[in-house]
Amino acid sequence: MKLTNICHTYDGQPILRGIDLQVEPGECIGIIGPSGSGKSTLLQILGLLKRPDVGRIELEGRELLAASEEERRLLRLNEIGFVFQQAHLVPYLTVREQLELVQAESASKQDPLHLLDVLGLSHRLNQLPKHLSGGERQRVAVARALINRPRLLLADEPTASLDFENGRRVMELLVAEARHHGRRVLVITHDERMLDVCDRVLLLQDGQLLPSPRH
Amino acid sequence: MNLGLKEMWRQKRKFSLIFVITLLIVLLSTLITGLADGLAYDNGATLRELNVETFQLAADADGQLTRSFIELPTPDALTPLGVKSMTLVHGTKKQDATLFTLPKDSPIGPELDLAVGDVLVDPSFLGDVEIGDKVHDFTSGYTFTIVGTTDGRYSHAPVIWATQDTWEAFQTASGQPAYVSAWLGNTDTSLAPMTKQDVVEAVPGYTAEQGTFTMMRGFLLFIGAFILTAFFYMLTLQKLPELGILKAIGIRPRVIGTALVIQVMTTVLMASLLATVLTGFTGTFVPDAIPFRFDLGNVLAYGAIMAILSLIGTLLPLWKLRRLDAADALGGIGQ
Repeated sequence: MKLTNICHTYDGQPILRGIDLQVEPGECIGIIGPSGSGKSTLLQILGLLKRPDVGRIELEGRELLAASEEERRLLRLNEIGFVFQQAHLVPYLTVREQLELVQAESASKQDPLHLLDVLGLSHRLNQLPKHLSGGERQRVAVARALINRPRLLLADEPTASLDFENGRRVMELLVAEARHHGRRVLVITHDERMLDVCDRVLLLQDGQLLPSPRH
Repeated sequence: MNLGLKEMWRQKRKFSLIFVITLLIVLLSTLITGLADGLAYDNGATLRELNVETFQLAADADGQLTRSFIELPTPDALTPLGVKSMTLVHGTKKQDATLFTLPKDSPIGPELDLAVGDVLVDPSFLGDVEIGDKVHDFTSGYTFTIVGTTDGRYSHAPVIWATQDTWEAFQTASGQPAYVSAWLGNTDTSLAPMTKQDVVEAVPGYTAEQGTFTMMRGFLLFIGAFILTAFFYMLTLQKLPELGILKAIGIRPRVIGTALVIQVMTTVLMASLLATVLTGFTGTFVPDAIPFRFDLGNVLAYGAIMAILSLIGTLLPLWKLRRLDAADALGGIGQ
């Protein structure tokens, strides 16, 4: 996956100034940066939720930004997995149904029960989100992001609402997904304790993406 | 199970509340409409229920039965109808009523197997008087005996039914010239033929009253539908962030839209159905003195209009969803 010269402005202010980045299959990259530096915007552009003002994104040779709205939706469904700061689960669907809802929209044949078992949620299949702990909810969100076997996994502060232990568990899950299934994983986090599991840590500052001097 | 139905099933408390609010709004419309329809019908109820379509009145009566005086005799092919407004006295109590008369064996009105002086009264006339009591006309002093009841209202006053023989006896006793108010039937005569609807519309106050009722129904429907539309609009707006997340992870807008449509249609149709039943039920126990009319067609039409407008209220914000930047739903823009 290759980003070339991604530029974006918000309210007339330049947020991203010519971001270049290459992510290899199986690689997990941590992105840090001060508040307001454009980390979430970068992730939303990568996740095809926003269009940058300028730039190119290629995934396995395909230029993604030229895709139509419907093609972008299908790419988000089948090629990209999202994990947000909050789990954002559908409150009236059980754990199993959260995954089935996404799976029903795609051609994925992955067994949700197996995935939930791997994530330690097999005993929670028929529970609604309100009956889960924060850590369990976030693991369901990870399972939902993985059910369609995405090639790119984007996580925006996935550990922010969790205690250290649960946060660590979620980070290890994401890294394991990169290592064992060759997914590209990008994680935004403020919690530097979570970054030692990443292959690379980049600092987003003044609209530029630079290697973090402290990692 | 559909996404929308699943939400309704699993969030019963929330949707019960939505259902109750919807039901109350629809019920308000149908009940008030029932009362308005009852009043509207009440004005010419007796005329509407006569088994005849053509009335022949005196040309100078402007279609008003109480102003029409037709000299006897009545042609054989036609049926004489007598109509007279009067004030009836029982002891110290007075009540207004309208006397309607037809020949004893006429199939046009209620069965009148009555002796001279006997009358059938609308149930709303009873209260201070009972069956078996005698009442007398305030102006002529003629005495009527109440022997039974039959439904009938004219110009919002109870109708008392008697035979043509009573009509003639009343006129003789009160020293009035012999006349009838209308000839019923469509044989050509020198009089002015009118349809039943024309005669109903000529009942004093009827047309002005209908205008008021039409305005009432219109405003009720408009306000009820507007409240429901706004209500469902707000509910959908409230869900936009959640729907934005679904959109972000690639769920088709159609799946989200269908779920909302099913929820609104289920809620409004069930509320309309229950409102229909409750309105019909209300009609069975309102007192006779309160005119109430349950018109199934009207109530169902109201339900349909409410459902359509509620649907519009729900789908309008979905237009926003189509344009919604899913990133907005996630927050963190510019971070």
